[in-house]
Amino acid sequence: MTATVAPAEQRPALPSNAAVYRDDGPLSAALGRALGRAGRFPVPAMALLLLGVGAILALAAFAGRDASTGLVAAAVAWLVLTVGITSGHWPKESFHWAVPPLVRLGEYAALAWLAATADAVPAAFALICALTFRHYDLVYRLRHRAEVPPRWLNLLAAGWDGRVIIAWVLLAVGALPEAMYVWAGLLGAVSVAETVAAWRRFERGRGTAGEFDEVEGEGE
Amino acid sequence: MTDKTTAVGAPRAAVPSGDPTAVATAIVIATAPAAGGACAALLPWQGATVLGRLLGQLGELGIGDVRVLTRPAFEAGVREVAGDRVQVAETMAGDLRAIADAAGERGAGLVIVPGDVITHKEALAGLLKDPRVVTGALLGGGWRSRQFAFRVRSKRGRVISAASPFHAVHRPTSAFLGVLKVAAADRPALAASAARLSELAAAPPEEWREELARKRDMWRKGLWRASQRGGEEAEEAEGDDEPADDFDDAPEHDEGPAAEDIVLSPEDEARLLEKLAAAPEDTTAVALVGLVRSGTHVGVTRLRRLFWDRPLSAQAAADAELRIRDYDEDKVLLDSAVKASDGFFTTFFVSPYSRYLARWAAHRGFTPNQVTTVSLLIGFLAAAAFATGERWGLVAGAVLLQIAFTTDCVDGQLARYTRTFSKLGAWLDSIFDRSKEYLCFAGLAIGASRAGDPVWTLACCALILQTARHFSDFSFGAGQTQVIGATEQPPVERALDAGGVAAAERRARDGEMPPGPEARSEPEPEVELPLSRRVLRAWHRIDRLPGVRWMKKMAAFPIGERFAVISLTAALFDPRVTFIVLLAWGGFAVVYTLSGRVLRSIAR
Repeated sequence: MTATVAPAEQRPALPSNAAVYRDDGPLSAALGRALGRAGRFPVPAMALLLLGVGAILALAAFAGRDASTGLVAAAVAWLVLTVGITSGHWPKESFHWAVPPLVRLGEYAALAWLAATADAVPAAFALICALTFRHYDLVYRLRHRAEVPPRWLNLLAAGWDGRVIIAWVLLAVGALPEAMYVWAGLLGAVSVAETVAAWRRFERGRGTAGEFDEVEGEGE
Repeated sequence: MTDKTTAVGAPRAAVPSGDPTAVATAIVIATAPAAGGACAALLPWQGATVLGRLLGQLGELGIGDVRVLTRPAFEAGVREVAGDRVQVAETMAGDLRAIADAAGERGAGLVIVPGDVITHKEALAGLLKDPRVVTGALLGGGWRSRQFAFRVRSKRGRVISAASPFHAVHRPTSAFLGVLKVAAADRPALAASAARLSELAAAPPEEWREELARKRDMWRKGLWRASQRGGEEAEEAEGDDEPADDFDDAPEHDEGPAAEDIVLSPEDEARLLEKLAAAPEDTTAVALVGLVRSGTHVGVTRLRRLFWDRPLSAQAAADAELRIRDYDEDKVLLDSAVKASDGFFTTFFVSPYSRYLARWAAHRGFTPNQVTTVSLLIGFLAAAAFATGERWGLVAGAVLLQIAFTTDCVDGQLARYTRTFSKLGAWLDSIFDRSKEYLCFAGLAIGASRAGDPVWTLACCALILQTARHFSDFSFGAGQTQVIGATEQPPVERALDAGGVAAAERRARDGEMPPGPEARSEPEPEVELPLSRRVLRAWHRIDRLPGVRWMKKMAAFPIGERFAVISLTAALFDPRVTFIVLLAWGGFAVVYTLSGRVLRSIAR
């Protein structure tokens, strides 16, 4: 008998926390599968992430509210392409932690900026608030209940890639800010309702999975 | 769904009936000899024995099935205390065999504890009744435990390496206080590892014997150093139970004479002999090594500031009896309900009084979840007041937000004080914290628009910055936990743990010296370290300067500081100032935490 722990590859394949926190949609996942697999992509993953997110931040700072719908479209496409590839093309393992915050930053900044070009920042604030609920819940449900959201909810939420594209479509058809408010309300309501239902199921089943320690620095 | 169990002392919580972490069996190891060859567990305690006290405590904690393992020489005395629940084994191999057999039975969780442990019942309850700790060990960092217990290294709430008479820990962080809880799910792992250890204990490998010899020298030097210091540190460090990385096992390299040249005082010499006689009987420590080395997730419960001792003479037991009287158990519990990892503002401006609110709430029978919900409602009111955009609203909102924050600290302290932990509670607490903060952002932004100075863009930036910061914390933490889980543990035959093996290999590679038992007590050669590691070491070293630890915590802009900034700037200035300060401090915190994390990731 050897008292060693099986290496990671031999244990059942659960998605890593970082992969769950990314909140990829179908498009991003497809890009990762098609272009990012097994390190085939010639550009380092961290460079892709920084180029994708950095472009959005730079455009938001310098082009700002005056950006044209076309420029926004190009920026959204660039973000989806670069960051999408990294869903299958990860940086060195000790840097995996840097991926989810960059994806969040890119997504939220893109939403805020494209809303700003239509003078709809409050609507973007509402949508981002609804999204923060979804995203914090991704973390906490994994930590406390060892669960990931059901497939239908992920499809409904459309992933970060789907959301920036939908937001751009709403911008292009001139539906901002009203549509964004409605979207925020619906997404928030569905997310909260699903979470409440999931907690009820969990409390009835009294599962044991998951850990819930107060980890320093993030339990606050 | 739940049934109420009540106990004396602090108000008790409901325990779910199907609790997978419940403990039904106790294995008490009454094998350690005390001074003069008596049984340490049979030392006198308040007219009875130490063992009798412990058995009483286990009974009060609802553990019905108690088995006491002892040696033939102590059997008669132990039977007088424990009746027919006694099993006799000749050696440690027999103890481990008995543990393996007990663990192999079907049933709920079990606890292994030495019969000579003197501690508060709350300390035992803190481990045995905490549903968050599935399988776990009671750890402490106080001076007394440094002297008398085997060390462990724990990280992120998990024991990653443990010492025993035959095993060493590389860079230990605290001490194992003897109490080991094994949940039903981990019984097979315990059965397998204890069976293997039993075979090894019957014919100890060479490495085990060398390690025991090394420990003898280490303790001799430790007692000598303590006598040089005049024991002043003892008073100061007694209650200190913070996990620390500088809890080093082997700083004794070249300070002072070699072990064999040391002359100890007669008292110290007697203590060393007692310790040396008792150490090879420490079956619990060996069992913990077995579990940890088999990759089982062993969680951590801390002693907090409660009393703990393992006397090895009648005199030591009498001393313990005097010292335990100085402990106000309720006050200790309340004080240790305060989270050690809180930030500066929370620790110095909220916790000093919120703990008394927590006690009040406990006596009124409020549950933590009720308090959490009240806190959210007050947070709503604060946001609504901010949204008026008037001066009075900003001031009222600031005050309400502080009340909400205090209430929020109360819920956690109430949960720790009454041990009413629940996963739902932890989730509510976290998600409501976020909700309060972002609701206040919205309230402030609405108020500013009403006052004619729209700040939506700033509010959006603050929201995005804070969420991104949190996600960096979450995924960095998850990554570290994953690394710990994937660490390969050496087999129990080896005295060295994974860190020790790596360090020995590093030294062998560098040609410094052969990887032998002497080599591992030497410090790692600093010159060989890459820049990133050296920077990190220096970074940790300055923590010892007064105030530096608090400065670092403040720089990371934790929740207490954020809420204080919101309240102060909103009450005194206007929302624009609030968001600018939040963004400036938050931006600084990003640069600060990010540089640390990038360094650590490069160093790995």
